[in-house]
Amino acid sequence: MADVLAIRDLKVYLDVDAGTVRAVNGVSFRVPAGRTVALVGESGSGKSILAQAVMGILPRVARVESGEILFQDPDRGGSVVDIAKLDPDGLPMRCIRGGRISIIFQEPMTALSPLHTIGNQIGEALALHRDLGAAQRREAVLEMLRLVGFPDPVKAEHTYPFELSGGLRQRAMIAAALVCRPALLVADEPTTALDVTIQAQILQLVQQLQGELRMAVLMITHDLGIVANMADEVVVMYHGKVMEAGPIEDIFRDPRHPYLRALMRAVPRFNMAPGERLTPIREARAVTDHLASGRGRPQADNKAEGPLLAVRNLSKRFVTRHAGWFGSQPASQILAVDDVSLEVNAGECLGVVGESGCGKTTTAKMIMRAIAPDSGEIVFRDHGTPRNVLALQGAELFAYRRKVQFVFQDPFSSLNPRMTAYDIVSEPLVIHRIGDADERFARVKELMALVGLDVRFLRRYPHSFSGGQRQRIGIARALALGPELLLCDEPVSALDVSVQAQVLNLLLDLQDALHLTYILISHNLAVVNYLADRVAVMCAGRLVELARHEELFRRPVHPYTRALFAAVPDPDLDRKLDFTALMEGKASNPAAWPAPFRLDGSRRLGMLDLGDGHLVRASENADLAELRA
Amino acid sequence: MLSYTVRRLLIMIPTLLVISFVTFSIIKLPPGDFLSNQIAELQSQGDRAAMEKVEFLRKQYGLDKSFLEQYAVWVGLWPGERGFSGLLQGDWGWSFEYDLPVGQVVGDRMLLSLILNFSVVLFTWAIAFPIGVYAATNQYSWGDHGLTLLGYVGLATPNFLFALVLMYFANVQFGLSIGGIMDPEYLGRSWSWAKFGSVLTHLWIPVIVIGTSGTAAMIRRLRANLLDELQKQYVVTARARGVPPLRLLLKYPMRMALNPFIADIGNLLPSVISGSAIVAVVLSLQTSGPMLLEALRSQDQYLAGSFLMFLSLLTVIGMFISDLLLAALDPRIRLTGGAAK
Repeated sequence: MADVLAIRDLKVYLDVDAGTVRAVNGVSFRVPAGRTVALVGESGSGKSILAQAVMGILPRVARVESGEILFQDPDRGGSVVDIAKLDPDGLPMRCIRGGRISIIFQEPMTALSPLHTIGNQIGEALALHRDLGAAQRREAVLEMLRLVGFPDPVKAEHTYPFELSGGLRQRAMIAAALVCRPALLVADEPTTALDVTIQAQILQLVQQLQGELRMAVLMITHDLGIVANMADEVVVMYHGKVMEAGPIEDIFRDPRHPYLRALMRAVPRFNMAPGERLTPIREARAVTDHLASGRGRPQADNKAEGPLLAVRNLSKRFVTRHAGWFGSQPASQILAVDDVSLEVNAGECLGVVGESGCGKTTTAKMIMRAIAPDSGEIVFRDHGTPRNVLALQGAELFAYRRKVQFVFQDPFSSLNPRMTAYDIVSEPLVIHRIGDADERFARVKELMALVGLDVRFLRRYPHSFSGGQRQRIGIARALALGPELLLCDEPVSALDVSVQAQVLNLLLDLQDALHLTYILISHNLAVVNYLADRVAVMCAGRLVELARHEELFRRPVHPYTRALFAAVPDPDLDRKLDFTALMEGKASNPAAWPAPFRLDGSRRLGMLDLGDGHLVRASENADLAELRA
Repeated sequence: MLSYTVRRLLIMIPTLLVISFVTFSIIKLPPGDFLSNQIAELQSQGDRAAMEKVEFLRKQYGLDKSFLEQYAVWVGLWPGERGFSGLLQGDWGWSFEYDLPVGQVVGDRMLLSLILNFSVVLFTWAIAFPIGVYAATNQYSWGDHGLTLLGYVGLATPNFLFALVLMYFANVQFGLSIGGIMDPEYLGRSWSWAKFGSVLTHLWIPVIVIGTSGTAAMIRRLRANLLDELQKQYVVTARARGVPPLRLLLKYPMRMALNPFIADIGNLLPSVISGSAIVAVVLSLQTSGPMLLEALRSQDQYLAGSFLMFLSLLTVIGMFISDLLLAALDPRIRLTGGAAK
């Protein structure tokens, strides 16, 4: 079979202030017609620059130094064009770009113009590359919208991107890329910004369209799970060079290159042995010896008497308003959190999973007292005395803030760019008036050692740190006050795989050394499985299932939990995604769940105990034995 | 959309009422009134008959009434000497200085102001848009640096100084007198083609003088806006679709960069009337700016007040127009407007 794309010894250099960066340094590989090649690597490996070079849309600082990008168009009888030699803005390149080679990007939120309708943006490629009349063009656009799964293409044509959910936007993006039926699709992290269930749907869509349009796909990703499920061949890149390349079977069954092996060991998997540790590609050791001094070490005597934190029947409603004649009137209500009850024991890690919008972050914020719930109760056991968190005021609330701290998702926007690392980490101490300047400095140095950062970094500003380093600064800040409970909201989802393992191991070590209690919020089930002792699954504001993690992962009961597990791509060739288990995107709709779980208002649902603390939300008169089966 | 438009129109009423009150209070803040200046002059001359005339005038103009009553009469909420006759009834009041109704005093000058300042706006946009786009698409090139320097010089030079310099050089080098907005012989005459032509030949100097700083500011802003937009992901997406460069620029980032300029229309309208007062004084242009200045100095309260009210009206209408235009051009404003948590 002919190769659609053949890259030979390609070098792309970036001219920046500090000199020349060899972003792509002598890369060769091929993409056979109709097959999928996965390009794997962490950020900075040059895989995105490579994609831009193929598309002829390199940024201004980048130039193709040498090498060939040979594109052989199957529709043109195999005439070969060297894209590297074409003028990126010239007519021949513009005809290939968008017409014969298309690209889909990672961020569906920003990759479409907010000022133009979906139909306009999909039709644009057609207008440029196909000689069609207006009516035919519209027909083709509608056909494409139907193909990518818009339920009502005629209506969808006139919607704007911001009116659509992330998954639908990505579908629109795919429609715009494929409407000209290209020979090659470049997919640059097409699902990284999406929820797992949506991700599985999009992957399914790409696979299905690939078959229908008989195109080749160059899939750029850092997720080995996606690679295992989608690719025929794999190319592993590191620092602008190809480390290993070959058919998927060879690569996954017998990885040869140490980098690839390291990458595979750094990803949390479902079938990890109990107690097995991830091996980060670059280890960052936490130094916890000095904690023996006792400073900042919470009392370990908190264990005995029941849960550290108990949340009972917590509910929160958000009201959207629309401007009326006089002031604003409530327009619609969204039940963000509905009757959530859970307990967190001292020293354990409770994982909370669910897709975006399921209310997991809102719950965490209510525990933080950042948002006031409409109803419910939160009790925090402070050295044996239960305290009603929602009733705390003034000095008591101030004291509560020392016990409970938050680690944010985005390490880029959660650190003030105008404060040095020292200012950031010492700020909680200043706010709570702890120690004098010398004591604070000593404490901050301890904290930096704790999270494995060099003390010499203290005078630097956040922009000079990598994502993983920033997240560790965020963790150091959260630990500054010696909290007992740490709420981690997607602590690793903005980080690269190689760095993820580093931060996850750090959290694990800190929990051990400082007797911390975690609430770990994540949409990544493997991450939750790695860290959490018990896992709570949330959907549409409700808690649907709660169990010990090995129990939950072995025997999920609730249909939503099952769909969630079915949607996670596992980096294991023997356990490929089962697209039929996805319930066609209905898994997160409570009204579509099968009988004892369905929420239709007629029956009361409650948390049923299946034994051993395994709770599931179902109709109160459901048969327990049947559920367990 | 319709209910939004109607609501916006209704909100303008209380806004204008509040503005009128604040305006009138500020005009009345300095001690004395227009006539007290004259009285002081007449008293030094010992002119009995004139003194009586002043007393008569004070009564006739209602200057002996209380502040609130004067305000109410001016707005037309209270009957004055001639019954209900105020802003609400379309009567702009009486100018003491000119001894004429405000409407007649202002009329011709307002027209000249409009001509002058709309020319300035056109000049600004015509120069600033191509330069701004060039500077953004060729960032850090020699052209960009040169135009940036020129822009800063334009921003930093006070308009009146620039006017004086131009006047000096035009006179010394070419023997031209470039003051005024038309040849003196046409002043006060009715409009004719000859008068119009004279206005055109005089217009370019004030247009350049008033326009430079605005042009420079606009170039800087357009450049910054466009630079922000140019590196957005959706521009790359469109480029990856094979859109040719010029069309790409105009269809996507340009449209996004336009928003601040449309939002600016509200500020543009009042500056059309009052903005260039100092330059107009220096160049002795017969526009409305100098008149407003003079009216405020001599406490010609109804002339100044009505003037300011007219400006406020233009501001409010300008804001209204720019809001409607923004909603029409940007679907995010149109479709998500008012929806907030």
